[in-house]
Amino acid sequence: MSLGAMDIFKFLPAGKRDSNANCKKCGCATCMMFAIKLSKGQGDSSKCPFLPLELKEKLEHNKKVQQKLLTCGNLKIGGETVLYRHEKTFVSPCTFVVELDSLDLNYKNKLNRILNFQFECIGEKYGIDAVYFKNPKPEDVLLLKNNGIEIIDDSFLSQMREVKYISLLNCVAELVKIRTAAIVDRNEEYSNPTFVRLRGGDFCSLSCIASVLICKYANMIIFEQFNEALFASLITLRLNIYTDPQKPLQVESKVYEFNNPDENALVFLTTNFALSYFAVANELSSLKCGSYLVITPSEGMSVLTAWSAQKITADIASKVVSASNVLENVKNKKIIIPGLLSDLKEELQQALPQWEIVVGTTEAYKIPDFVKKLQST
Amino acid sequence: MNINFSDNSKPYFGLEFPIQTGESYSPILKEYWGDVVSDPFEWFLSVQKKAFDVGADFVSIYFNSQEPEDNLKPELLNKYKNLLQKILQECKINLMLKLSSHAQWDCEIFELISQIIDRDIIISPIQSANYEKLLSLALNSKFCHKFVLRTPIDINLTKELNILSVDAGVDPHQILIDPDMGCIGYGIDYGYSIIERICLAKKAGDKMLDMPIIVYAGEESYKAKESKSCDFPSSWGELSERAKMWEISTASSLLAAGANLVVCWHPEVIRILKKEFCEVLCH
Repeated sequence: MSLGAMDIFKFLPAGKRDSNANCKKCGCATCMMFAIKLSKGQGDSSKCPFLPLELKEKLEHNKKVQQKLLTCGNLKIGGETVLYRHEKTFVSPCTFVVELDSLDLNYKNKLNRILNFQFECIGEKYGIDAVYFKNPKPEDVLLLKNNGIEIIDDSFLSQMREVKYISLLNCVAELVKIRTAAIVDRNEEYSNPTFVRLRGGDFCSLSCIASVLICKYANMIIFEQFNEALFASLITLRLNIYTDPQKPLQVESKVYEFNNPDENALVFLTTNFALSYFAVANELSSLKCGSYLVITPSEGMSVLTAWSAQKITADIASKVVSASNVLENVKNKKIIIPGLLSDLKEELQQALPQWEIVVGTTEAYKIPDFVKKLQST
Repeated sequence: MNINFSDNSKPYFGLEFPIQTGESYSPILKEYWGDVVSDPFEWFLSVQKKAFDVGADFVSIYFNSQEPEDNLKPELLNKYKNLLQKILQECKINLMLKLSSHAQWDCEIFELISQIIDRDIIISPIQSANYEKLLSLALNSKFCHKFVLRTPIDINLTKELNILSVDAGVDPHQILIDPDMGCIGYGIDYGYSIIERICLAKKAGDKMLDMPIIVYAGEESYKAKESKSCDFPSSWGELSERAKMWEISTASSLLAAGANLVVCWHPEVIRILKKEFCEVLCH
């Protein structure tokens, strides 16, 4: 919890409606400006001759680190500043570590699966972050590092705080206690990032446990065993939890192509909200036919929000369609708009008289069935 | 109904099935349930049995729609009514009736089937576009139903619909909040944060948000391609494992945020979640 400008201001002369209000001795024109400076960690609080001791203590307290930030190669661990992601954002995604022991019977197989595990999601590549290597082989250490996988050892772990896994309830309670003491109380005893070791190969149970630990405050999880589906789902969840809630995810407004569209391609339209785009793109890429997707500039708003905020109008949508050269070649002049935009149909029809506006489905996952029906008529 | 969901010490689980399956229905679930999938009544009997097996608290029948279709055909309405009538005769578990979520159709469907409902049930989803009609029908019976009020991931809209429903005569204890979640990979972060904020508001004493939160982890995760398509590179793992994990991870993260009721599609998922969430998490 950081001190906001208003929290500081109420202690200053102007905030207390004191006769020394806005005396300028601190070098700022007003107490408010000084408060804003202090809230950003700039300026020197001792420049104010009227600063009460209580505020001085609060400011000192506020300078203390909440959670330490550790680095291991390209990995950042810890450094969190809030308890809830909506307050600001979580900063260092929970690190996924897999144990590896060169004396294990299936060592080679496990190593290869970890090395081969890589997938793309929303344009970024993901894999296992690090390996906890027992009896390390130098050539394999090199191989892992060349693949962007870091090596974690006991000396690195000694900078962290282990939370033993006894039960989910018990482990989460402990993690919540530690994180709260670090973030809210700025208690240095709790400022080390945390890690949890998860044993065994019951991957469905691990999926449940690790999902909760990602949300509730483990900075690192060390898995004894490796499984592709488990990490694919956990990395997906982690991506969601660690997105910055203050920035709407958006994609570029343009016409996207799927499956080498030709003159017979279908044309779809939606807003530039990243989720809308990926949901629709996901379906279009799995269709057997080629298609175009027109993305409107709608400030990253979802279809319904953009429609009520007038960020998707017939005018905006028709401009993107008209500006596109590729769409000129399409023979089948039909534009499929989201089902939620059915109210926009007539207006859009007038703006784009050479096209036939078709109202599609309200949800992206229904697109394949919709296309089947469309093509059979 | 033998539960009222007000006990905050543990989560509640529902097992749900849709009465009709198209090509978008997951092959994993089709294989799990087998031939009964083609007959919703037989399917209900299987689901009920499984629900008892895995310790689910209720069964949810999803009267799903086959979009896009312009009108709800009268013969379909009668089919729904007859199906429900047969099910009610055999139903020995707490029951949720999940309508299509098409505001207009749901009024038509519910108007017809509300005549034959013979016990307290959970009715879902009730939205701002149809709450007046649905609530007046439901409150006009001698039963004390629970109402799932759905608003699109916005805490203010949630509170507003709760207030409007209470004004319409609903007791706050009859309300379950559905903040309209997605699944992992499809914007779960929005819903996740809304649930956390609702829980913080509850703690701060907001009576109009102090109701249990329900999430549809099953329906949402089985909308995702990841839960039904083999068309992924090997790094995404086996479909049968991935599908279960998609639902487990969705449910677990929302429970971590503060959800109280989880509706699942795969019975094994309930078994796993119940094992790990034997008590409710501290927040």
